[in-house]
Amino acid sequence: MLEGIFSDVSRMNKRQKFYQALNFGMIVSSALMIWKGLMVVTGSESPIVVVLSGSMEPAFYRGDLLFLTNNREDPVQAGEILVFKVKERDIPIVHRVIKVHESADGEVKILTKGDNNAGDDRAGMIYAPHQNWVTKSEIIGRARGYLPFVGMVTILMNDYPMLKYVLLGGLAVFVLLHRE
Amino acid sequence: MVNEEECVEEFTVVDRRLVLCTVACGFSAFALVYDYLFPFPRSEVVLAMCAISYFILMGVLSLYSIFCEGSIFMLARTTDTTGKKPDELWTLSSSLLRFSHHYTITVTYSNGGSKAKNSCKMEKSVTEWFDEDGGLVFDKFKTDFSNLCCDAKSFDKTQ
Repeated sequence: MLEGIFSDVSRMNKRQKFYQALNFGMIVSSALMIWKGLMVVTGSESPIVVVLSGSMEPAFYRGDLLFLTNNREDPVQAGEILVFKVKERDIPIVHRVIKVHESADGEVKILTKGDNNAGDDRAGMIYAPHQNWVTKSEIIGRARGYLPFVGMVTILMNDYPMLKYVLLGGLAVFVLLHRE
Repeated sequence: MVNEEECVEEFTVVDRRLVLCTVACGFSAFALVYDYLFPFPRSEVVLAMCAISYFILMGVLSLYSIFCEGSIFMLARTTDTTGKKPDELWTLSSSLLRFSHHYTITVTYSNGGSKAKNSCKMEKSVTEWFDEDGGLVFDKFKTDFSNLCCDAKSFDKTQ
C-alpha cells in the first residue's frame, strides 16, 4: 500500500504535484479561515476553549468544549461564566463571576471563583502576584454554550505531544500523497 | 495522441483552477501574517475581509469545477506552423462510476475555422482493455481510441 501511494506521486507531473500541495494548503486554509471568521463573529480572540481543570465541576468537567462570545458593550454580571487570561500564564481560566464593581468612567473590576474551589481566585492564588481583580482587558469571553467530552482530544494531545505529531504528520502525509 | 495528431497539450483549464486555489490560499496566508503582526482585535476588519473573500473564492472554484471543467481531463491544440490552417482543438472527457465497469470517453473535436464542434463518445467495459493478469493492454486501448479520434475528425471534414 505504501509503495502504491509513492508510485502515484512519482507518476505525477509538475502541475499535479503543485495541485496536491494546494489541496493540502486549502484544507489548512479552510480550517484557518473558519477559525478567524469565528473570531470576528464572536469578538473573542479564542472563540472555542477546552476546560482543562476540574475547578468548575459539576457545571463543566475536564475535557468539555466551551463556545465563547465577547461582546464588550454587554456588561459583565455576577453569575456569568468568564474565561480570562492571567498575566504570565498561558492557559485561560474558566471561572464564575461572583463580584462586579463598576466605576463611573466604565472601569470594571471583577472577582471570580471556581465552583469546585473552596475559596475565590484571589485566595486560591489564581491571579498574578499583587493582582486582586480581573479587568476587562484580560477577558477572552463569556461561555455561551458547551459540548461535553469533545475537548478530551486536545487534552490528550497536550499531555502526549508525540501523539499530536504522529496524528497531524500522518494526516499531512496522507493528503499530500493521496491522489483523487 | 499527442504524437499521432501532432498536437500539444493545453493547460488553460487546469491553470485557471490552480490560479483560483493559489489566490484563495494567498488570502488565508495574508490573514495569518496580518493577525500575527497586528493581534486581534486590531486585525478584525482584515480578518473579516479575508475570510469572506476566501469563502467566495471557494464558491467560485466549485462552480468552475462543475460547469466549466466538468469531466474534462485533457485539452490539446494543433497549431499550424505555416499559419494557413486554423487551430484544431481536442477536448477529452471521461467518466467511470465508482463501482461500475462501464467507462465512457468523449472526444470533442473543433476546427477553429468552421466553428463546428463534433463530439464522439465511446462507452465500453474496462474489461475489454485488461488481460487476465490485470495488466492494461495499451495497444488495444490505443486502437479503440485512435478510431474514436478519427471518427470525431472525419465527421467535421464531410460538413
